[in-house]
Amino acid sequence: MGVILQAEALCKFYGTGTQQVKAVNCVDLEIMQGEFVAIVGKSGSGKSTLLHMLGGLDRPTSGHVRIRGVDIYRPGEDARTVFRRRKIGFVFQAYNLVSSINVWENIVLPLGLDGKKIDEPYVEELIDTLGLRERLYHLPCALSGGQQQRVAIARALVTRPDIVFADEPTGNLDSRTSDEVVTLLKASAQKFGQTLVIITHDEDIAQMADRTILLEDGEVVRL
Amino acid sequence: MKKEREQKRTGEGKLRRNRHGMTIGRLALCNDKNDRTRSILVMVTVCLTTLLLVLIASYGYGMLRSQKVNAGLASGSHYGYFKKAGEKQIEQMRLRSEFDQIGRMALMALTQQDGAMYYADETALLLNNMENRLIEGHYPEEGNEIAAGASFLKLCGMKEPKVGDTVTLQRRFDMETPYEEETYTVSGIIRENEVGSGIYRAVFVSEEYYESVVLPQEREYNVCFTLQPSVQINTDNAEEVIRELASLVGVEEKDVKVNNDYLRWSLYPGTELIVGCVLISGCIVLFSVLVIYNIFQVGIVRRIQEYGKIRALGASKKQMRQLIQTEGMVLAAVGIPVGTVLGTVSAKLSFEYLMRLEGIYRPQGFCIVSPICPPLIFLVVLFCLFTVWIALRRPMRLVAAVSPIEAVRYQEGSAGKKEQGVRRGKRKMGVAGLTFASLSANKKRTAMTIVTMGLSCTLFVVLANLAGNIDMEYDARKTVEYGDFQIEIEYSIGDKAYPEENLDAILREDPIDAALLEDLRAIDGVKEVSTQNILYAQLLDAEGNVTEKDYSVLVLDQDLFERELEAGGYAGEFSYESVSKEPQILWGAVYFMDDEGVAVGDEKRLLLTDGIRQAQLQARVAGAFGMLGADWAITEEVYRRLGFEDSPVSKVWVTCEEGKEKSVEAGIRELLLEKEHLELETYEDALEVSRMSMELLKLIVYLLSGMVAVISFLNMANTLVVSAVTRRQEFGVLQAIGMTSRQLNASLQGEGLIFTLGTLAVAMLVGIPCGYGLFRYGKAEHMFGLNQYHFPVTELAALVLFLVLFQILLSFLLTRSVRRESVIERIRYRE
Repeated sequence: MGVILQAEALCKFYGTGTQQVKAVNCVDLEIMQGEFVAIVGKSGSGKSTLLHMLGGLDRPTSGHVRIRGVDIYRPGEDARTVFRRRKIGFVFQAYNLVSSINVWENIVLPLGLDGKKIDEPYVEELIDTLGLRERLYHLPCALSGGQQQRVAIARALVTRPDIVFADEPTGNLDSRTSDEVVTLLKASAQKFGQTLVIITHDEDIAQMADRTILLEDGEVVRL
Repeated sequence: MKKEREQKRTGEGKLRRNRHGMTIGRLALCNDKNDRTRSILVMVTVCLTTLLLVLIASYGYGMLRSQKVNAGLASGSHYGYFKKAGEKQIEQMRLRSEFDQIGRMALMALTQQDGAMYYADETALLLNNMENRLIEGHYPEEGNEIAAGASFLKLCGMKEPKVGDTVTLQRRFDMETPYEEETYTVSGIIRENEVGSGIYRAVFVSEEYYESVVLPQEREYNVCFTLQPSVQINTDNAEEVIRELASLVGVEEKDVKVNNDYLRWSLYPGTELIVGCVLISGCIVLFSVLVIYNIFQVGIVRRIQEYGKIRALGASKKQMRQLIQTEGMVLAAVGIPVGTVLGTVSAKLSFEYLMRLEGIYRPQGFCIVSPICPPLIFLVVLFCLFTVWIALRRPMRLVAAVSPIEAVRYQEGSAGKKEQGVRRGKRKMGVAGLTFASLSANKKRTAMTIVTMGLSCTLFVVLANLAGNIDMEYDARKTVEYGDFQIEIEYSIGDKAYPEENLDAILREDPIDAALLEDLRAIDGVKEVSTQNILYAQLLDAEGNVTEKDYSVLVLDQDLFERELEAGGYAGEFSYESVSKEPQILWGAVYFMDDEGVAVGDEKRLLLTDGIRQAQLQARVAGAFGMLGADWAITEEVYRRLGFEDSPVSKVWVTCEEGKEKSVEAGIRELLLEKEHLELETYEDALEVSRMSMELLKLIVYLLSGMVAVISFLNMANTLVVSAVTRRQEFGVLQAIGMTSRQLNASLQGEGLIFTLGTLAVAMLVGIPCGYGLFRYGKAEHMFGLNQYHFPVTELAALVLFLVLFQILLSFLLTRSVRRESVIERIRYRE
């Protein structure tokens, strides 16, 4: 298993002088292909900022992020977006599904945006794995929180990304549903051979990971 | 810094600083400040609406006032006059209490150079508005003083006409005596009309002179008068009242002339104009109400949770209504004054400019009135406030009905969908699918925006159907019927002193003879020469004897006949076929039927001549044309049946090859150099006159309807902006999962395009039938230059271009504004 993601001296600062806030301060880390990594830390420790920078959503103040050796912040925004939709999947705490389209459409949307043909057997398998078969024509507003998050997971996996980033995917769910969702996320990532990076407060979820990274005041204190 | 900015944006800082607690008024103000886009759009809409209403009201008022003020200047401020009145009748008038001012005027003699010598007393001068026309000196007071126009005096041999100089005039007292020379002293110079004739070449003499040359028993006056305010007179009964008074003072009915032009405006309240203005204003108010309502409605639906929180905190229904009302009225308080100032200034400047242009054509004096009436403007302001209030009614009710629990739970697009939260959808989902899905998820909002925008644009389409069909060429063809040039004979009827000027003499001379026609055809570049014939007629009495009455008779072919009918204003029921079949004649001018004593159904016996041949015609009067330019008309069929052939010619139309107009005109002018009694008119000149008057009309119509289109565009801008702002987070997520900026732009452009296409569809579907209906009505009423209906392609293409271009620009700006924030900022965004 090789290194899939590499962060070098990654910093994200807000403001200047005495007002400066160091959200992420000089973080170095490596994540191996197929690994399940949990990033944990207190509120305001810089977990989400780090995840966003690793996922190519937020440009760092300094430092580099490399996925399969490619510096993702070197190309322009549109090229990075294309890279993101092909190589990275995201799952957000607030599910963030498009409210005007149904479950199936939400799942295949990233493929549509990339102009790719839908690999129907793969999508069907994803749907079955995540237990969404009965809900394909429902709009997001007609689904429970857990169901919405399962749709978000399917959407993240549909392009067969190298890495899936999940930003507190269970933050809005009760504990039973949380376990169910993370189990599904882990199982799907394993089944389809993806690397999974997850942010969580939940100790139980962190324990399910292959490795835990602890962040305090923007710095990695345990790898 | 960022925190401060954030505080400023959310209004938190304001809330903390407000020590007196948060009143509904302050909250409304904060909401307006917070939702800057909505506020700007509402203010601009209110401002444009006010501007339009002020413009319309001011123009309506200005036109009414101008017509009232200038009716007196143009046609005199008397109620009418009695022709051929003697001293006895005047004395009777003085004795009656109904008459107020009485002025005497008499035609004394005619001069060469088309002058008419009048005696008029002070009152007649005043009532005929002659005082305004005096440039220098005074009207004749004694001896052989005269007052006349400078160019007339120059024609009579004076080099530099000055008051005090003498001039010798050739004058005669009637058509039977030759001209005699007499010398006069110029006491005054009056302004004259360069294009007019008759009264405009008036020469005024003193009372002393008039009485010295006209015997008391021969003195006949045109007595003009006004009536006392106590006389109950209005536009409907004016004729009747004045005729009744005439009979009471011994004036025959045929000698009564009512000054309709003046009475129409001095007695008429201008109901039609006012109704027209109110109708257009009503349309504008309706569109504005729809647009303001829609902007508010869309804004409220977006922020319903916010309002729910206020309800949950304890605001009563009344306070909620008050909140929305204050939000709207604060914006109106900015928009209305700005619109009023802009409207007042633009109305004053543009109206006075147009009036100055109009004044050029009214040398008899033209008073430029101010179109601004402060009480009316105040009324418009109240009306605008009412417009905003009406627009706010439904949003107010909606907010008052919000239940605190529902509203706090409310999520955009989720209300009431739990049970129907199913969508059939598509197997593939891309940018286009996303755009359609977003619009169909907000069907009501989408439909409402499209309908309101469509209806606003309908006014433009309706007016475009009218203005786009104003046919300047059709209007010009009323002057020059065919070809590029028109040559017409000029003649008199019944001039006994100069019989060579009369039609019968001219016909014998035949100025447009075969040789001239041949010469015209021979000019290089001439393609076609066509002609119209004329005859000279004398009225025969019952025994078949020739009477003193003589006329001109124009020969109309079917095409010219139809044209005259299309021009409208005719009397009687007839067609080309009906008047050809059983020979019938038509009188040339409806207006003069009474003067001549002609009525539909009369039998007339005429002796017709073309200068050589003669024929008798006994025919029934089938009717009368509006204004033909000759006394009678017969059809070509009848003309041929009577044994006449293609001579003599009254009009020639010359058509030339394209690009050879100049050389052909020079050729024609050269041919006409030696000819008398012929007048040349060019189609190009007629077109220019028509173009000048219609361009202005078109400009006003398009400006008005263009502004309504702008208001409707603001509506779309609001819907798109609100749609983009509410979906900011969604756009962030979409970009996170792989939507590029180009795709985002395409999605927003697509949404805008659907609004634009929907708007155009509604505008066309409603506007074109309405516009066509209006065109048919306008044509039936013989409005300016309306002839053949053409689909107004250019105007509608301009509307499409305007909407599409602005929509592309708006979508582009929205994409830029969305892109200004990073993806992560957008994902984190919460309203």
